[in-house]
Amino acid sequence: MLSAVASADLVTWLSICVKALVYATALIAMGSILSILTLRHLPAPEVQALRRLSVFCAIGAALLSLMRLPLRASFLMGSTWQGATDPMMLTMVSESPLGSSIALRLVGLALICAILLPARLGRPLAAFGVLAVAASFVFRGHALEEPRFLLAALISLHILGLAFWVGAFAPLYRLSGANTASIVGQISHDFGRIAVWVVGALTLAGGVTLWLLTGNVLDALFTSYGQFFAIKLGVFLGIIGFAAWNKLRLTPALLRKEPGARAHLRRSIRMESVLVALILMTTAILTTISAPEATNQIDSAAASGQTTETNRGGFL
Amino acid sequence: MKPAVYFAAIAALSLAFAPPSADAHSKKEVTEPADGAVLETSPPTISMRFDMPMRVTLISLTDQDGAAHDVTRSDNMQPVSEFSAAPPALPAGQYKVEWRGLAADGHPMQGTFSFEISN
Repeated sequence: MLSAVASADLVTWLSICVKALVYATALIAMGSILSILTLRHLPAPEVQALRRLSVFCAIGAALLSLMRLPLRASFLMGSTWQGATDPMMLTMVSESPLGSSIALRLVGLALICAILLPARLGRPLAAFGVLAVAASFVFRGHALEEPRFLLAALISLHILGLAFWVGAFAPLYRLSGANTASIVGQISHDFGRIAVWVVGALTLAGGVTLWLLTGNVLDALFTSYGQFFAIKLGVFLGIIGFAAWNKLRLTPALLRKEPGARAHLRRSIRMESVLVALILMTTAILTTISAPEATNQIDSAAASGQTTETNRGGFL
Repeated sequence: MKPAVYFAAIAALSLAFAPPSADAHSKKEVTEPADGAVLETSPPTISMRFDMPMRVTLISLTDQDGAAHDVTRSDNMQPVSEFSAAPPALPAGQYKVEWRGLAADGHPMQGTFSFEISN
């Protein structure tokens, strides 16, 4: 794993960074919509700010997603800039599952921008956009493998839960900086009530996904992919478990307008944001340079030569 | 709208948009010459066998000095389970084959293998 990371070329690293930024912008765009729809006590100015943020991030996610096409074409031609503009390579990549995934994501991101329309029309369209963006990620990588329906549902659930979590950062952070302790407490209460279910769903989805992709969780822990996945999952669950507990503990303090509670919440959100960014980067690396060992079946009948490991990109 | 409704909706949408079945992609390939093989003469072909169709988008053959040797391929960059290319008559030395490709399930792949032609 470390040797693969060390040997990655410039285009591979650029692909990893763009992929991580796609995750971040898409999650914030989706999460902002989910916050608008689920956090009922958000004040009107905060709803307006979230609408702008979701549209801004949707546009960013769209542009970054499109950048993945020439980057993939470049990789296929030996990580050359000439490859990034090769019409045949670009066509080949556009017609691959990556192209389908990006096309659906662009539709979803466009629908998210409908949040600027009047609420009666804009909110349902944006909600459908969130679903489409989440679904766009299941077109990729291991969601293509059997049992694909279950994997698609689990990965979508995972993305949706994470989006909800990330989307709550901005309103909670902004409101906790203003003199609105009771409103923050109420919103934190709304968030914590839903977050308990999200933590449970993410735990279940992560564990089942690892088991499905690697065949056996214990065996998987002896593979580099399984170890990377397990570390990521463990850190992620640790973070959200801690954050859920923290918010649940902070909520009563915020509701009681205890001094220092808002500052504590802001610190907690800053820390969570940094850790989530690290996890997104880790995921981008994981999905670009490694694969589950369960897929490493070698043609045992072929005795004509030895095998050589290959790197790949995919999943999300 | 309650979160449970979203989760139910995403599950339904995922099923609706779920892609067609695809086998697990190839992560390893069988090569000829074998990786690390020591040959007495120049190999007539360089081949790779995959466990699912692969579009080989790039293949390069370089010697120990980094000099590139052209290979002749006949796959027209179409998906193949067995790829082969003919190298020129190679003198004694160490050679490295590098390739990149797009697997049938859309994954970009790459690999390298080496062989030696002895005196």
